[in-house]
Amino acid sequence: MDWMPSPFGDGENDPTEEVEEDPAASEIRQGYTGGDTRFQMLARVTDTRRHVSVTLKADLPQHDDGTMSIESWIPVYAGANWHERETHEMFGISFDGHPDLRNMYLPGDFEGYPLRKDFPLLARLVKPWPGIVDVEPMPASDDDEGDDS
Amino acid sequence: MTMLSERQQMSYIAAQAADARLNVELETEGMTLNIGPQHPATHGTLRIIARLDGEQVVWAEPSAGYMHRGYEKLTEVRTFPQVTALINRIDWLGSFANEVPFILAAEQLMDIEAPPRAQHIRTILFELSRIANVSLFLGDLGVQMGAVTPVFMAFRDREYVLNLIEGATGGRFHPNFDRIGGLKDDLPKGWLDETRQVMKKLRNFCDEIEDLLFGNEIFQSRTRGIGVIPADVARQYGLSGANLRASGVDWDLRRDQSLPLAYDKVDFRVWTHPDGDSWARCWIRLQEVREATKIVDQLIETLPPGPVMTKVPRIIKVPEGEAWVSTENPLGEMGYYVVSKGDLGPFRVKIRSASFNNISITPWVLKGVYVPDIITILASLYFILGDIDR
Amino acid sequence: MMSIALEIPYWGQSLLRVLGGIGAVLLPAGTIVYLFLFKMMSFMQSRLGPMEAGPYGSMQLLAEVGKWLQKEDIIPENADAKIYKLAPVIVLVSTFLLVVVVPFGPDALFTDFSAGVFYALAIGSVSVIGILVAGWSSANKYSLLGGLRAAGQLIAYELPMVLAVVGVVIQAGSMNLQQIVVAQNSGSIFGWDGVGFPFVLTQFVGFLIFMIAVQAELTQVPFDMPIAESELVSGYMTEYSGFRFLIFFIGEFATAGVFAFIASVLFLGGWGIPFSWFGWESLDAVDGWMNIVGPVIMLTKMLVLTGIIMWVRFSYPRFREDQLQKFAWKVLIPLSLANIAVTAILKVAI
Repeated sequence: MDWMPSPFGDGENDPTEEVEEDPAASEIRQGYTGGDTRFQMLARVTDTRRHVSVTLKADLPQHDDGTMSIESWIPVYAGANWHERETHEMFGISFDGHPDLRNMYLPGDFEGYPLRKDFPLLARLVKPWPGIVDVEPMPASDDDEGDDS
Repeated sequence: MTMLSERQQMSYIAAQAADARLNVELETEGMTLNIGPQHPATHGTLRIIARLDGEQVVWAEPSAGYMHRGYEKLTEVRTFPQVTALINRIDWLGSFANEVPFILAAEQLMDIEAPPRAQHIRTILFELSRIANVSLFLGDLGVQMGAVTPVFMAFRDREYVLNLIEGATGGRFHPNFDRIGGLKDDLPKGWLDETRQVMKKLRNFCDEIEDLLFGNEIFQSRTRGIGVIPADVARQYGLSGANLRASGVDWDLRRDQSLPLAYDKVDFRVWTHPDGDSWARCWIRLQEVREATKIVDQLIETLPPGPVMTKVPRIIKVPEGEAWVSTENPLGEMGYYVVSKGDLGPFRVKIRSASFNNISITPWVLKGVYVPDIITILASLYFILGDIDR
Repeated sequence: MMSIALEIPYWGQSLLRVLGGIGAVLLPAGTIVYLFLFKMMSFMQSRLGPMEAGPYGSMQLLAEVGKWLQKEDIIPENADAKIYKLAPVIVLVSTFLLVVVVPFGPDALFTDFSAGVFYALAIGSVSVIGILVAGWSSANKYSLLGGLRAAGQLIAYELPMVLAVVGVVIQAGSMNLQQIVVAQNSGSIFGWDGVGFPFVLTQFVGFLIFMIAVQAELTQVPFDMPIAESELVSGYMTEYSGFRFLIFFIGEFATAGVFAFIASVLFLGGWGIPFSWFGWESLDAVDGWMNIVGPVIMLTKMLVLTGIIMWVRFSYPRFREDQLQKFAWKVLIPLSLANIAVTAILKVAI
């Protein structure tokens, strides 16, 4: 990922400065709202000295075989290791340069990427949400279904 | 789950067997010890695979995920109030503190602000859950080291705080009290006086623990100089909360951020410590409990009158947008990135939990320590499984 | 024997001795467990302890024994069954062997052994074998770690114990435990024989070292690395359940009691009260009723000492293994050696 970070209000673009920042890094991805591609990577970094936090977004294009890859942040933030592993297992984004990309939460051979929108929430498919009956009569829309794509 | 295909079930079993094989191997140069999911020392089901050379750790790796409940997926199919009930259970000891960042993010998206009284009461309950959470830590510290008595005192004094939280919210562990736009209800009568009494008791408790546990030479020799984490490494790994302040970094989100909570109306001290060792982490948490009691005292004095809920529509539809809010939770920094598309529920919620980062440092910090020190370091880093695994 | 002359045949005496020995081990164990483990610990932690079984929970011990006895006997598959079963027995038997030399009264003893102290210290080391065997044969890595730690710790703390006792032997001039008691009770401090001459006064350092070493030999906190409940889940005892665990449990507290007996004999004056209070001149002049009162006095002294052991157990965190070893080798042993030197010099000089 090629990015030139510019802390809020500052003009410094030197990548080596990043080592001093405190990553409150949350790498998440976002669906259709706001991104040009289906998957977008977000990261949030904080600078404890300048009291500045930035959220960075990057659109992830899909390769021909449907996979996506992005450079790993480990050389800069060692703590990104676990975040990248989690993102990889949940969304299927692979990180170049990550030493040990294996599943964090899910068992070894889990098929599929759970947090993608097209991965169904099996509990909802099995049994309808009992909370529907308790909610006040809502105008038309019923949001308690499992697929939001 | 019967919905898993045959193939998925088989692969799950195969993975477990592969992991088990890793444990049984006795390599010539070392022994692989599995400080396994069921263990008295881990606060929940954390598994640490350690390769030992005698009593020294050569390599250690935590294997989290035994408690993964799929929160982020679950939030996608719930409405905003339902999500509030759900996320109480992430950090189950400092319960109210989990709801606050999420509600604040939703309020940011809706562009409303809770009335001042609600903000005040939110802050009071936030600090009370910090006290409840960290006083358990102080007792638990004793048990990890082998002193069985402080934990009973901790539980006894924590009962007072839990009773207060129950009196205000109706739930000891999972209050589910915060609502978008304010709180569910106002405080009951006589609650403020009782809170004053309880805060005094808790200050006594802090003094007792300091005397009993922190003043003990054995405890000091067990924790000083163990698990030193220098400040730059701490920042790189994203440690937060007391762990970061113990390494000397002066960063406290209560002071350094302006959120619609009442922190700017009180005066409190942010404690840091120059060594990054286990002693520093434990000591800072003790001081934080004391500060929290003082904050609560100040907040009680200056509680403004007024309503506790702004006008929000009956069915809450949050407009489209993204918001990030993070607060200084008892465990560290907890943040929520809420993405909404104008529905009744969020489109995606990313939960940035404090213990996730706090534990990611264990492979680095556990190199070359003794087996008893593993327990000390884990105890001082203080994690809750629900926070790591969400 | 007693003032009522009874002719008991030899087999009768042996039977009495066996029963007495069993009683002397199990009764203190039970008392210690109830009084200190259940009640004192609970009160220190601001809770009540067992209250249901019997009045104020006094029958709790019987309930616990019954519970353990009726459990299933589980032996891990990979465990070496023969020595796995043998290990708890070794630990308990060493306690029984140890109580044999403790005198309970002028004539109420099991055997009058002239090298009693030597024997006691030697037998005290037998339980180490039991622990090691338990740790190894359980086929469990936690037990192995516990056993290894125990090996290092128990052997390291044998030495201060032995050296601390040497000071007492020098002062008493004999290794016979009965003679040590007599020497204390008929002695006098600078000519005043109001309290006899309990060796704890001059051998204070030796007493402290002995108590610390006893705490370590019993693997009690702060020296309980081999058990280390929050790390090793019971260390070498992890795989034991049911009545095997019961034997370990009894063994732990019985050994505490017996070591306290030995400490009270060596340092506090044993079964005696100062002879000068009754005008006895020597051991033979002691009245027969001391054979009944003696054990009671011993029990009291034992309870005091065990109370201290347990008190420390519930208050302190535990040492790490290397700190433990450092303490033994660098602090306790030099101190006890110095103690012996000073005692010897003073004994010769004064």
